[in-house]
Amino acid sequence: MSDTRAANPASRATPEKDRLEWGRQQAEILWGGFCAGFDPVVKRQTVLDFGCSWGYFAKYLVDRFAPRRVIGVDLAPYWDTVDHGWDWRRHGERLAFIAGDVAESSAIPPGSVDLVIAISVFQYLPPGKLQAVLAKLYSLLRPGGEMLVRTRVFTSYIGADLHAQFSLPYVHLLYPKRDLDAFASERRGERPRYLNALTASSYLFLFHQAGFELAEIRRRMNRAAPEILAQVRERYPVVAEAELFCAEIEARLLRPYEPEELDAITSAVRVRGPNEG
Amino acid sequence: MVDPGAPASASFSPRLAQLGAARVWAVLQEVGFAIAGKVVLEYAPGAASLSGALQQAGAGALHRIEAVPSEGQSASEPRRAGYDVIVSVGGHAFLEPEAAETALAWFYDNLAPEGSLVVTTPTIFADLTPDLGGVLRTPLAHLLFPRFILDEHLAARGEAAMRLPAPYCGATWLMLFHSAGFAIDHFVRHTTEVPEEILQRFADKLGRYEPQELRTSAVTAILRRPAQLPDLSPIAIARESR
Repeated sequence: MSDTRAANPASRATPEKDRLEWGRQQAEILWGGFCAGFDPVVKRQTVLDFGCSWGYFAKYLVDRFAPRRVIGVDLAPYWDTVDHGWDWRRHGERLAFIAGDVAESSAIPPGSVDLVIAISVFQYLPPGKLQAVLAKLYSLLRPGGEMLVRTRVFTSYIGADLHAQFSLPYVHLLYPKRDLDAFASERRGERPRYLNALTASSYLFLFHQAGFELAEIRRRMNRAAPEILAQVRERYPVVAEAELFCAEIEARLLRPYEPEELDAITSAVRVRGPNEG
Repeated sequence: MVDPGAPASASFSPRLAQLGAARVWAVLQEVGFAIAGKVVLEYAPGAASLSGALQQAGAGALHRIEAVPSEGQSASEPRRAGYDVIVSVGGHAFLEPEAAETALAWFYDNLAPEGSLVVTTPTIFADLTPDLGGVLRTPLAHLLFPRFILDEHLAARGEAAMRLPAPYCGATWLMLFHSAGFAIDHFVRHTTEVPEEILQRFADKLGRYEPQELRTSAVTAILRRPAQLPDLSPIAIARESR
């Protein structure tokens, strides 16, 4: 599975993920394996990298394309605290980072972003928080802007992020997470990280509810450990395989034009004439 | 026959609560669930109640709460040994996503070992349009239009914003029940009453959802708090090997 984003504090403890070369390779994998499939326009666009970690993907976008601006957002300022050896400030106005909760922030003007990229972040948000974040990201996009999302879903073989504690794939689907968390807490002295329990259809509803048009949806299915997956199938006979076997959702979401915005465009074209640029 | 009893609270759909009560009772009867002699806690926040039916079925003692105590609070009628059965016919805890997780944890903690939680809740695919007093007639309007558009539409007509259940489909509810520690003894999907022709007409919007989830308007489950915790040692990765 390509869920390689280092956007969470737990992964901050892994030194190789802080290195520039690791970041370059990961960004190439993410672009080639995810973003490029949706063919987004980056050139001369304002791009928001939501859950940007120390900024390796933002760096890739700035280095490879010619965006107007890339804004990286994460809860903590990893771009300044991680020893990656990259002087991101030399990019000047073309690159900015914002630390904090995007749902509570007013640092980015509404309607000012052309493209949001959110990779492997949403699974860490409680559903209520996710609703607030999606509403905010929607408001930051200009009409016609789009968001590319990749998120793990709970039915992923690593849907509860317990693969460092337990050897069994799909362990959270076969044993209650309450018991797994308690066991892991006792062993490690710290509670495992929160992941929400959203399955694919619930995610799609949340995207829709925030206002997004679901332009393209791809379900990446679990392939790991077929013999254990068969046990999962047996455990949940009341869930269809399209939902139960889904590991990740990839989506291209649009902020549609609203009627008054289309009226404004039509009026502008009428005033200027269709061929006056 | 179930008499849903008390009138609905203003903040929850009386129709859905009454449907919930009827569904719970139907499932209990279908599986022959024994109530006689058991100590039962009913979580029914004024919207609907099965108290009369539970008493008729011979409940040994019947307690009732209208709100799940928040973290750190104890129930108004705490029972040290835990309840034999907790029945939840739908309430505020199942409207707010995080509150649902808290409520399930509280139910688990307050059940006796081998005790049962009987719970019903609408999914996000429930048709909420009948609760809007005729202002919206399009079935499944909340699946066809974004929330802010619907709320603007309702506000323009002097109506309150739409109250949605927690944003969970049936499968997500099932995962939540399992994650909370419960064994799933029965899980029933209630099929939507929205005609198939309507679902097909709006296939451009609704076709994105997994078909079984789209057609599940509510779930009812009989969940059990296991007497023993599973032995996780055999599948645990030794700390020093990580």
